Amino acid sequence: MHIPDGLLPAQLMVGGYALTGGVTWLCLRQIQRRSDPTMQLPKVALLTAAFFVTSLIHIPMPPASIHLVLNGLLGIVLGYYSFPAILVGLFFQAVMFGHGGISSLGVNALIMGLPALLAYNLVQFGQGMFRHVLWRQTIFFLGGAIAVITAAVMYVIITLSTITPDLNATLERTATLAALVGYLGQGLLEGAFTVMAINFLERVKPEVLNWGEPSSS
Amino acid sequence: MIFRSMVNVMNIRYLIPFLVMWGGATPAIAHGSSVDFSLRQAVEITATYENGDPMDEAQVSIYAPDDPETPWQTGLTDGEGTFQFAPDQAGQWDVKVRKAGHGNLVTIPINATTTEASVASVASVASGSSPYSPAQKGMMAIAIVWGCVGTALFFTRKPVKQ
Repeated sequence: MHIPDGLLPAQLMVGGYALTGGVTWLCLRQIQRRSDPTMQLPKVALLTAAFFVTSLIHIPMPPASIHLVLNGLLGIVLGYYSFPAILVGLFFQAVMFGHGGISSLGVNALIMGLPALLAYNLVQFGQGMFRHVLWRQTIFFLGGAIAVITAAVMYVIITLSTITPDLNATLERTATLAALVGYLGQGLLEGAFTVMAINFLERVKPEVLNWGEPSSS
Repeated sequence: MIFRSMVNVMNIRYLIPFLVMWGGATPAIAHGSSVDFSLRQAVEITATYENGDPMDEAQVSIYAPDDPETPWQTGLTDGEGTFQFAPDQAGQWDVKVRKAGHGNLVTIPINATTTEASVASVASVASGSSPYSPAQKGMMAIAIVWGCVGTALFFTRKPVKQ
C-alpha cells in the first residue's frame, strides 16, 4: 500500500506534501494543547518502532503473504501523535528499504495517517457511547479494520486515477481491484490484532491507553 | 502494507545482455520461403516483490533515449517476472514496471557496441541496484528501532534533583 517513487504525477506529490504538512501542523497544535506534551513520547517512540518494523515481517498466508500495517492501533493508542509517528515511520521505511519513496512520502502519509486519525475519533466516540464490554471490543475491532480498509480504498483511488495512457487501463484496474479484495481480508485480520493488542495493554499497562485524556489543558 | 502485491520495492536486474534471434520471414510465394535472421543484444529485466516473489503479468513500458514521452515498446512480464527487449540505439533507456500501483522506474544505460566493456558496465549497474542482504536489512532495522527505544528512554528519565 506504499506508493513508490516515479509513478505519481508531480502535482499529486506536491499536493500530498502540502496536505501532509497541514495535517501535521494541526496534530502538533493539538499535542501542544496538552498539559504535558512530552509525557506521551516514550509510547509514541515505541509504537513508531513497531510500525516501522512490521512492514519487514511477512506473515505467510498461502497463497500470498501479508504484513500488518498497525495504523489503526497507532491511531487508537496515540491519538493525534499517530500522524507524526506514521510520517516518521514511513520516512525511515522509504530511506532504508525503499518502501514507498521520498517523493511520494506526502501522499503515503495521508493514505496511512488520515485513517489512523479516523480510527482514533471513532474509538473516542464509541468510548463515550458504549460501556458494555462486547461493544467496546467491537469498537476496537472496527477501529483497526476501518483504518486499514480506508487506507486501502484511498490507495486504490489514487492508483486508479493515475493510470497513464501507456498502460493497459483494464488490466491495471483488474489487478488493483483484485489487490483491494486482499486488503479487505487484511482489514479483518488487523481488526482482530488491534482488539488483542488493546486488551493486552489494558491488562498489563492500562495507563498507556489513558482513555478520556483531555485534549486541552 | 503488503498483501502479496504490496511490495513496492522491486528489483530490476538486467541480468545478462544476451543474444536473441531476430526472425523476419519474407511473404510466402507458392512453395518457396526464406527465414532471415540477425543477432542483436537484448536486455532482460526481472521484476520481483521485495519478499522475492516474481511480479508476474506486470505492465512494462520501455522508453527509448530519443523519446521519453512515447513508449517504444510495451508488454507484460511472464510468470517469472521477466521481460526482454532489444534496444536498437545507445543511450539511457527508461523501463517502467507497474502492477496494481506497485512497481518501479529504472534507467538502463546501453553502450553503442556489444563489447566486453558494455557487458561489464551493465553488470555493474545491476549489482549497484541490488537490494541489501537480509543481514544488512536486519542491522538497519535494529539501528532504527534502537533509535526509537533510545528516544523512549530519554523521555522516561527521572528529573534530576537539584
